[in-house]
Amino acid sequence: MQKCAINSTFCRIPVSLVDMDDKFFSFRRTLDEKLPESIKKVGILKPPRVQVFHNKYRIVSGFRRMAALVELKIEHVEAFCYDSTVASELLFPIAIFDNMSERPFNPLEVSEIIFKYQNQFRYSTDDVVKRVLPTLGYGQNPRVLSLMEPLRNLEHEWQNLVLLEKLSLETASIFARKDKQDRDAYFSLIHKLALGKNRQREFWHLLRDIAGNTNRKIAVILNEKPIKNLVGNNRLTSSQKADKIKAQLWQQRYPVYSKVKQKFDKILSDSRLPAGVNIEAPLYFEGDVYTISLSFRSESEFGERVEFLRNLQKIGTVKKLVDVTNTEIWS
Amino acid sequence: MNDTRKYLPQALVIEKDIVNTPLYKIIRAKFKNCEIEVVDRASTRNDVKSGKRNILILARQRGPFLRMCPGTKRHICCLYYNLDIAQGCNLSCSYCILQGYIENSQVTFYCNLDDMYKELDLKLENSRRFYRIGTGELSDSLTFDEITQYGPGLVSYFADKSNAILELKTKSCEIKNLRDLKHNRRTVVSWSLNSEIIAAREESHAPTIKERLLAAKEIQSYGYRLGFHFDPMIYYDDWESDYRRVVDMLFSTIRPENIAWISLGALRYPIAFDQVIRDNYPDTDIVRGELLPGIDLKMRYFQPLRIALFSSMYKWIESYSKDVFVYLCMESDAVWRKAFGWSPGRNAVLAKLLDDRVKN
Repeated sequence: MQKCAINSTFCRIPVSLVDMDDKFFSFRRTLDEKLPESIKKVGILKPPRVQVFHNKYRIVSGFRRMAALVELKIEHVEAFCYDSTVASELLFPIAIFDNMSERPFNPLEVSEIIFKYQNQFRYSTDDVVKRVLPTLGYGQNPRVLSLMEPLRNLEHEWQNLVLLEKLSLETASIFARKDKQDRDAYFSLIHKLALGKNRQREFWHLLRDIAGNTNRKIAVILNEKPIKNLVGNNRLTSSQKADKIKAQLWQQRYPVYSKVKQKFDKILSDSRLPAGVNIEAPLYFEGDVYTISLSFRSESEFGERVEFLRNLQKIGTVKKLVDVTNTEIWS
Repeated sequence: MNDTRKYLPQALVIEKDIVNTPLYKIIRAKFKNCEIEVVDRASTRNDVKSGKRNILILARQRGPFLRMCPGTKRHICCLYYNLDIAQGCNLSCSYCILQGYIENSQVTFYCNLDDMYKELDLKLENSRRFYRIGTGELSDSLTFDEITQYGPGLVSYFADKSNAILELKTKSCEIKNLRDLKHNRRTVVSWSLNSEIIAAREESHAPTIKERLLAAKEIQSYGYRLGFHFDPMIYYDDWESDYRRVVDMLFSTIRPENIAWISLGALRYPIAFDQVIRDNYPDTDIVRGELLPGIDLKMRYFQPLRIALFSSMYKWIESYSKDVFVYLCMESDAVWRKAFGWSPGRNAVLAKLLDDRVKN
């Protein structure tokens, strides 16, 4: 970005001569649509900036203000005008700074600015990292570029979820690079299950690895009957659906672990543990320390529960539980 | 070694402190045409910090050279000592833990070897314990030996030590410096092995398994003791036949009586390292195995899978020789028992068993 003072003239221009279709300098992506109302009440507080271009005015900064004027049928506006000879590369930073003074840019706007620098002004990746990102308040970090760059390719509904902070930036960025079928399937799932950002990441990691291991598309995995049925099951809450689908995905991602876990759970379930007695395997069956928790209200209850546990050993249930990871059982 | 494996740094960054050391002069002569920059401290140099690739740093080791392997909690450790003489590697193995610790594949050679030998003297002369010391923790012990000439100096140093043994761990075939040295069998030259397909996919800049075994055979003919480390073993569909084949290749090339030890370890890494591998090696599928967080917060294969890997390897190795000592690297007592049917139980017991293999 070049730094130099660029002269403009402050003049009254007819709104009809402003080319509303020329989006060369436009990068704003916002959900806020209340501008006409405020302009109606207090007028334009901050004059737009335009450039003379092919006998019309090209908007440099103030797209929403100009659109509001058209909507309100206001015929003239006072604006800062730049000569047609001023290079657009010099005007783009003005558009950026003018907008940045109002509020920080959201990730979609950053994505759009990056796109414009790369495509309209032919900046290399290195130029963007070193010259553009610091202007936008980021460090010279290529990871920021790879995170932000693809967001502009998302469909509108998914962009809106990013703006509403209902879709994690990382997930949005990853899926913006995926094909539309996978993207739609995944976004539709997280939308229907109302998954928070951490769970979005968790589901994405499971799906990514299942897809890689089985050479299937994510859309195909999510379209399989068990998952589809769970998503469509109206008797389950979103949270219950999410838990059950996660369990399904775990079975595919960690088949041997899931088999052992199921076997362990089945042994426990068949042993009909009384209330107040619980047996837990080590986390992920790592290590060899099993845990029993026991609660009781009286001496006799204590005796009954201890006796129950003793009996579990007698009938071989304890052995079955601690042997559950033996290869003979899971293979 | 083919050309793609040849190490050619773009630039040398040299700390002022070491320009008078003999090693600096040897290395400088190897890279006469290389861009060079002399700095006070390499760690404060911008290029080094920003991770420009292919920089060779010649530096002073300011910390201790000798450090005990940190081990991992609740796992049995062999109480090994690492001699940090270099950092970084040129073999680009996808699973390499150095990616997480050393910035951007820069290679550092420490040149203040006088300090290192003084430190070793002090440690070994004032101790009654036995030391197994290796240079293969933060780098490959031999891949740069043509440049650094570390090998001959170390082998000669350890040749007359009665309470220590040197282990040079490598995947390379850079063994010519070890020929004709008086080693007195106080050096174990060890190779990291894997299945051939994993070596080809995940250790793409390293010599093939056949090449490594041929180098080991050559080293055997020089009279050295040998070690082999199947680490990290990878669990995949054809692992049984593929690893079995390498065990067969090993014992058809090397005489069991020359093997000091064989270690086994399955793929493991800190949880945060998962993304580092995925970022650096997007095509690798090793991160998609059934890896779960272990009690030491490292990702490891689900325990029964590790036991299957280890018990099979143990059985195959035993079928060739019951005298070869096979041990597990960083595994719990439970896994030892389930995989091998016995366990050393404690770090000190494992250490003694290993020491006894090479004391005399």
